[in-house]
Amino acid sequence: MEPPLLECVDLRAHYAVKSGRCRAVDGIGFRINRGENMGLVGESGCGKSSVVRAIIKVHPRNFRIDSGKVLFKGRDLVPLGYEEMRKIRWREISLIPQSAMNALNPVYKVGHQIQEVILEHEGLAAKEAEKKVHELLASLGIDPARADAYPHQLSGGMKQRVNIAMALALRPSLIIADEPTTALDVLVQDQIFQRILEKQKQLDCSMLLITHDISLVAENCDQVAVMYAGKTVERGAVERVLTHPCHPYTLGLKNAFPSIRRPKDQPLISIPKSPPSLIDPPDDRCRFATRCPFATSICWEMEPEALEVEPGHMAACHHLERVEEMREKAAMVETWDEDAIPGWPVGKERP
Amino acid sequence: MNKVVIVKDLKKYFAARTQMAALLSGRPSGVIRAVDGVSFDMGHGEILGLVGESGSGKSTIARVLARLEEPDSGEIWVDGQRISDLKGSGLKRFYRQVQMIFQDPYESVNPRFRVYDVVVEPVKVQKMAPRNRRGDLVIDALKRAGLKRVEEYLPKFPHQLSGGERQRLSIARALVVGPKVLIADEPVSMLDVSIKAGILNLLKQLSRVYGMTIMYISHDLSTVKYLCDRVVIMYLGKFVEIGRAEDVIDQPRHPYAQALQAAIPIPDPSHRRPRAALRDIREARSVVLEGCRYRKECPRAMDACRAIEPVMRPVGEDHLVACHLY
Amino acid sequence: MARRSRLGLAGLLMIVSFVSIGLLAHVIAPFDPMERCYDASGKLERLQPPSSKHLLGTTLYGRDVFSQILIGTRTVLLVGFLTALFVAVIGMNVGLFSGYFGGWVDNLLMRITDLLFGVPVVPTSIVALSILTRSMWWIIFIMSLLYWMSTARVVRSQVLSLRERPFIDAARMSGAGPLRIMYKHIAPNVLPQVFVHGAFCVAWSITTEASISFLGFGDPRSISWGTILHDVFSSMVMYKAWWWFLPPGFCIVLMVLSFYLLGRAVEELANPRLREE
Repeated sequence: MEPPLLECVDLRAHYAVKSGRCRAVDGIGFRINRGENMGLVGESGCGKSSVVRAIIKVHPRNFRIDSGKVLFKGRDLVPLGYEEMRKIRWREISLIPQSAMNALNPVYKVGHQIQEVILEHEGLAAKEAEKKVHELLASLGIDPARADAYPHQLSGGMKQRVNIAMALALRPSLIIADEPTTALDVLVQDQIFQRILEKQKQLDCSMLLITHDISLVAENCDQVAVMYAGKTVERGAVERVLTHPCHPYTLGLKNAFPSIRRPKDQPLISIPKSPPSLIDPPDDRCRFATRCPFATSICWEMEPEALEVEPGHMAACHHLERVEEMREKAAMVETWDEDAIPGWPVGKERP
Repeated sequence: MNKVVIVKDLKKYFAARTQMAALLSGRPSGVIRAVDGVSFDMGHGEILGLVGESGSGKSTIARVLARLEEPDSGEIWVDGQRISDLKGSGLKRFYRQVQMIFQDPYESVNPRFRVYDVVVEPVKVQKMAPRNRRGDLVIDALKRAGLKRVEEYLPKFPHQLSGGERQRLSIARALVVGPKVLIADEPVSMLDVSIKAGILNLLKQLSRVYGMTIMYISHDLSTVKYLCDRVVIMYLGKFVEIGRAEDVIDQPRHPYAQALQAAIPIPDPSHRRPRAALRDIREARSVVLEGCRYRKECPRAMDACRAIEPVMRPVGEDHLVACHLY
Repeated sequence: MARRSRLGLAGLLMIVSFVSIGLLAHVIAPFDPMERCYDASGKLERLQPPSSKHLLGTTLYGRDVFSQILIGTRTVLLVGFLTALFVAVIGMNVGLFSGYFGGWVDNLLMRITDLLFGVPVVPTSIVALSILTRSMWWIIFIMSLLYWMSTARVVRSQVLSLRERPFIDAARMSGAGPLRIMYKHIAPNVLPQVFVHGAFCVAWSITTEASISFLGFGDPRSISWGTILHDVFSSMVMYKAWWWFLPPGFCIVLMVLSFYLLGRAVEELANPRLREE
């Protein structure tokens, strides 16, 4: 059996900040097999971009990986040094960054920037590299003549496609797409994802998609991992997790997500309050307990373990045996009413 | 039936400043025709969705309706009064009728003002209450905006609030003057999924319970369908389709509306969405002067589209489309 | 970050010390700064090196250097703070009006600003003082007129960007007029920058006044560190009396440094807070 392309095992990393340790990655585990796409879903502040930083090891100085493994093709990336990581970046793992505007250098032509990536890692003559750049751009629907344009002369969608071209230039085995279409219009988004999927088939590469948009994961990914407060709370095949979610947070997300296929009178719910601070969080309770309508005393005493709900589908919750009841209740607005959720252990003093 | 807002043939142009803008407008002198002749109305308690992509002109309509910009031509009536050329004290009174909430919760509130100051400012400027009664108005507005334990919020600064709380603060500021019309410019686009619904439900409640007329601007058809009674779809400064939300969103007629609807990803893994053919989207859209603006990208463009600009025609009950196919 | 605040704190402490000295100068000073001191035998104590009686020695005319330095502190601080205050007021208002109204107001104000930038401060001051009278108040006035421009420019650019923010639209929509928006809504956001420039301005004005006084155009009835330097230089005995020229020079450097440190520390703090994500 081929080892998974990328496997994170209990990955933990933190930022050292004035007030303590911001534990943005606090026990992340997932597996991407070759030929599969995985979506890492979470809202702002859950730490998903930090997971990316931990994997490709491009991060600010106050960021440190504490423990865990990042196994890429069986090889642990965590202990690798700068030179070895440099060989892996772009060639094996590449990144489509979130903000197209900031990822491109404004004083160089875009073609030149893609060329640079190629020349850095492959011993091609400049002319050959140039030809490759033109091919790449054409395959993404950009007129090759635009290689002579500067970033500010391109629209948001075009810039993002340039980023994709750069990411694919060296035929990596894994692309990490960090919210690639957040700032883009829906028509452009659709085209971009279609192009990515098409190129993926051609190049046989997998994708790790970081996003807050469940619908993008539903359409483009095979596996999904749901992240909350630095942890993976649920993980599994997209068909299973999105149609039969088990963790209360996933249930909340599912019922909060608007869709044009939803009947108009089906109410959308809102999860009250805010995610907890990632700075020195408590380890002796479930992180979602403050916002969970189903929390009981055990949720405040012990961190839930990841349990297998069905083959390949895991969730970290103490109340998985009540999952049917939770699913039913989660669809009702009253369940998520701020006054109905205690937010602290019932019967005890408010922390 | 008395309409609260009536807009007739509104136009707003901007002088282009950069080469890129000149490219966009297609004219050498460089004028961006942000809003190029739109007409619509809104009834009491109605939520009208205004949908379009970036550059469609939807935010400009919001700003002109809010009188943050002056229209170049056309007429706007709010509650029977012409507002297109209001100035001075008339404009100040107008702001008791019409209020706006904005997209970015971080930028919508003065970072130096406390929560109390933010909401009491319109009360002070509009001289709505003597000093000892102002606090009541503020607290009432914050409660109506859905904030619980209001007294705890009053001394806080915006950076101490979450995105959703800040948005509710903006809403409270808008509500405190008791407006009839609320313009919501992408109020949930920058909020997390799990809290979007709270704001959307609040807007729904404002319309159903308080009879507020709401213009909801968004690029996201999913939230528009959830919230709005009627929907307008805009393309490059013109309306292309208008009708009831279910009609326009579930069965769009205009090719652009159809393309938009077809491009929306669906969160249901079992649903196989038919994907549109891969095309080079011409991103630098030039405004076409003759004929239909969409013809360069329209898969069903005909000869008539090049020559004559389509006008709004009914295709069903309360459903209009500007397209030569109908 | 902690390191930088420490420097800022150091600057602040130095300023506080200087201010205390300035306030208590007349009490601490052992002698009147203009008093000619005689020793027990009635001889004028000219150019005495530092001793227990004269901590920093005496000048060519038998005056106590230490007392002069102390009294000079008051003058210097007065000049510095007042100039900075006037500059802050002028600069902030010009920046506010220019940035908010734009159009011809902005054009006019900015052309004036550009013009004034070309005016050399010390020579102009000297010419003006020769025409008017050589008094500390005129010096403060002239410096205020010539130093407000960079504050105005910085405030203007901040106002230009603040003006576009939605909370200003909201302020307009509460019915507020331009003046209220400028002073109630925009100004508080601009104040940190004004303060930073104010701190730097204290430093500039101290050195400018010192230059003017050193060149002999200072206020003859006041004592400032610049006038002390003028005295020591014009006496031609500079190389002999190190205790006479080093202290004022050192004080100027220290004072300027402390305001720069303070200004820079506030500048760090004034940076927009990282958005919570």
